[in-house]
Amino acid sequence: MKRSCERLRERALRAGMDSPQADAWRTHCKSCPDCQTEQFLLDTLRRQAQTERQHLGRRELAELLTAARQCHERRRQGAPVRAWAWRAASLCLLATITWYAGRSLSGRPGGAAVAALSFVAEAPGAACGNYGVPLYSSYAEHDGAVLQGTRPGAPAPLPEIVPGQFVQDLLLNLRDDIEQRRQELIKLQDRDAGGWERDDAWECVLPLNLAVA
Amino acid sequence: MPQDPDMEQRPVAIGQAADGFVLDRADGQGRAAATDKRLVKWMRDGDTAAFEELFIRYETRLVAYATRYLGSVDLAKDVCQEVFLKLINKPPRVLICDSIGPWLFRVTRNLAIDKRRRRKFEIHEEDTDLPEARDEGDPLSSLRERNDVEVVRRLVQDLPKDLRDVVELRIDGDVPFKDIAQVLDIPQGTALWRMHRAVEVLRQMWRRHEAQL
Repeated sequence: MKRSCERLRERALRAGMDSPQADAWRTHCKSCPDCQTEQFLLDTLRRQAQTERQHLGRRELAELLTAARQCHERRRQGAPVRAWAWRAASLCLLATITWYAGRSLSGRPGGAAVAALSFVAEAPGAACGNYGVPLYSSYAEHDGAVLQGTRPGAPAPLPEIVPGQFVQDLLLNLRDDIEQRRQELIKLQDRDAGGWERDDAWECVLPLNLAVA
Repeated sequence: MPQDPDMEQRPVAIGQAADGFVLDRADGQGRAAATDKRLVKWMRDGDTAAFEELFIRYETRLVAYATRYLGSVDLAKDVCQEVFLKLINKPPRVLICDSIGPWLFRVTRNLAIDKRRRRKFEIHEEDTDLPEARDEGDPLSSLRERNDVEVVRRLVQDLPKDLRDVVELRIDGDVPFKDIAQVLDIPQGTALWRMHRAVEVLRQMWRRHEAQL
């Protein structure tokens, strides 16, 4: 098959078999048996495809048109409801974000924890190098406990050692972090160990040089 | 602010019909000249005539294409109806290259494959109603022609799947290569190359078939 044949065929296929390019290929086909065969095959397929291009019945078309009408009607009726639903959903989302932001801010040094941090600087231990870990939640809390204990009939309270909320959060985060890292290390260890189970470890075949050693 | 050109060229709405549909000045000629994208927009706005135009454009080609998968024109018509129902209920939001063709052919293909798969498990009568050969000319040539069609179709069925897909879309669906590329998620050059390759392979198979006779 010549290169010119391929070029003519390509043009005809691109433009469609009713195009002038296809006519050019047909003219060429008269002198090229390979192209003649190809064209015969394509024409045969095309003729058969034409016979299969059948219309749907009137009833089917009517059903489709009715469906289209009903669908549009539904959409038109549902549009205001959808608009209100969107508005309500947006409001809910906004309220959630506001609430969440407020909550997370209250856990930061800018919120209630500021008091705890300011106490850290003044805590008795700070002068001795006890930085950042307040042992008392605040003066007010401690004082309250002392005051409670001084009331008549009340048992004398033990000195409270209650870390502030902020520190507690920090500790919790730290614990989580450590736990995560521990899990990651375990995973890495498992992967590097090559999937040996503990019980299987005894049955593994040692490398020869290791066994000799 | 740039406006959507499709919206600019939309026919002017002149009123609201009793059943809620927007009447516009787009006559049959206007619709026939409109792009697919514009027709879908009008269809979404409740213009059933726009839907009808889309239906006319694609109906027969979809039936022929589905027939390739199902081997029955009646089943192919059912699939075609389902495809248009899908278009009514959920028109594609994004139309690439101003054409809804790739979407329709892709949905047809998926539905036809699904139906064929389901039919494997159903008990049904032999209903392969392959179209009769045309009754023109003398009976002998008609018979020969029919025989040729069957042989060529069998050869197409023997093609590798990727080549067969392109042949069926191009010949039966009359889909341009640009759209074939979108339906099959391949570059346009690849679609064209597959078609060439398919024609070459078909020629070789046909030669072998002739030699056996």
